[in-house]
Amino acid sequence: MQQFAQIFGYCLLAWLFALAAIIALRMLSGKIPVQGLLTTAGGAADPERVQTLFVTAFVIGALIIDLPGSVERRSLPEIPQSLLLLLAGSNSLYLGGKIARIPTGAALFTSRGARPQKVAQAVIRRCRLMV
Amino acid sequence: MKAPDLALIGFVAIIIIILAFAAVVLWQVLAGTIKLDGLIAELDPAKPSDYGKASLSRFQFLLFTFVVAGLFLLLSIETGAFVNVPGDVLGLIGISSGTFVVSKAVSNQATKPDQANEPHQRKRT
Repeated sequence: MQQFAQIFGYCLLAWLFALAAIIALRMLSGKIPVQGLLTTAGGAADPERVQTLFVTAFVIGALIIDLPGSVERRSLPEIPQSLLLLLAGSNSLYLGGKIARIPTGAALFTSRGARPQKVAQAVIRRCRLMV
Repeated sequence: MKAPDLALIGFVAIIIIILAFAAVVLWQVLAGTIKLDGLIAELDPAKPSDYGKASLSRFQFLLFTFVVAGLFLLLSIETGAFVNVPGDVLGLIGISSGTFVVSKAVSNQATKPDQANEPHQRKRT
């Protein structure tokens, strides 16, 4: 049964790689649009996006570098807390930039549909209930 | 028939079913029936039928999902058992998915601020 499980695992891994390869090829050929990945809606380069992409690549690199040790530990690679904080900060900066750059940013904060204060209060209330 | 044989047959049957599902999905993706056009792009508010800018949060979520899933599978095959998933990795996925959700909410809200403002304007008048 162990052999079957191993074959199954390899098949699933091959499937995952095939899917990733299809996505990568379609991105390269332009069938999956990637324009605007690093630019603002106006077409100018967006520093927040660039730094987020760098941090993402850095985190993935850290994950892969720790791979040999993880086989011995029988665990997925461990990520340092500082790296997680870096990612959280980077993503917050990206979101902050996105909110600030939308043309009707003011409307976002005053509209009835989105009230950040109320959303934050609801999240805090739920967290308190969970604790 | 002995119990271990039955278990083996059941295991092989489940493997075949799951691999068949996986193969069908892959085939449909290759054939174009399952479209991946909007995988990392969001719909253009000006032309709802067209995809606009690519979303970095979607791209990041996609990358982390593939990397973590690939590493999990690889390590599980290597060690012969399910490997532990540390809280840090779950945090990583959580941060990425949270960013994706917030980004989507911001994008959706940004496309229709006028509609959302209408009730306020009506009250004032």
